Amino acid sequence: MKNLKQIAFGLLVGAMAIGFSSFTNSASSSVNKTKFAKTFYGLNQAGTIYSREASNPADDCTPKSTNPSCVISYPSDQGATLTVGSLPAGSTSESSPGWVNP
Amino acid sequence: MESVIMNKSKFQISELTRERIVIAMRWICMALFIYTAYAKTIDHDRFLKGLTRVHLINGLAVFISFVVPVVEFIIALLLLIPKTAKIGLYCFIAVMTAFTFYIISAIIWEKTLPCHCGGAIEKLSWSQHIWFNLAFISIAIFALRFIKLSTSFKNLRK
Repeated sequence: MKNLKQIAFGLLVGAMAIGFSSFTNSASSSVNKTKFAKTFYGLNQAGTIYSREASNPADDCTPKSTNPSCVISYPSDQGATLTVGSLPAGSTSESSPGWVNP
Repeated sequence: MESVIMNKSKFQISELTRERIVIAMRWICMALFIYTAYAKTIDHDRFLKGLTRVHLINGLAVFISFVVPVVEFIIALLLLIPKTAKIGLYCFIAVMTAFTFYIISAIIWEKTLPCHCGGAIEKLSWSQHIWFNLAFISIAIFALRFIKLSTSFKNLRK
């Protein structure tokens, strides 16, 4: 009985540790670290060609945005940086709508 | 006439207090392993990427990325169950010592030092990390010493 009580309290401590872990982990997770790209590319009406936008084209530019003109870069260590030079003018993109994978 | 001289320490704690201290120490060690293992499991990709950057363990990165959280969970389970607590503490000391040696060797041989220990522990500097590990190792050693003391007292009573 004493052992069971001890295990129960131990499980409580473990649950608290998991809770604290997810709390601290969410603060440093990749979603919150997602940075907005300094350079934005917008899809044309047909959704085939990307062209550079002068400034931030959308205020609702969030990771869950479905706006085709919203481009969000991943953290720099997860891929190459998207630059104007890396995209040939008039090229066709295979990216899914709303997202450009740098 | 014979006389028996007993050396009694000035600092004495009751059996119950000693037992409670051991339980608290076990739970602290268990909480640390659950905390870090959970963080590594949830953000496994990041943990794996970090390990691949370390040249010392580059080849075994995938294996280590799975083994370390599993081992931590198993040791946490051993620490939770009173019957296996002693084995759990020995394993805890062994694993923490291995981690400390890994940190020291990484400091010596690695140019860049990525830490993917999980959660808030990542924010520690490398020297702080070593002190942190040593503190937990000493907590586990104290817990083992208390367990040994209480078992020897029980044997004396018999």
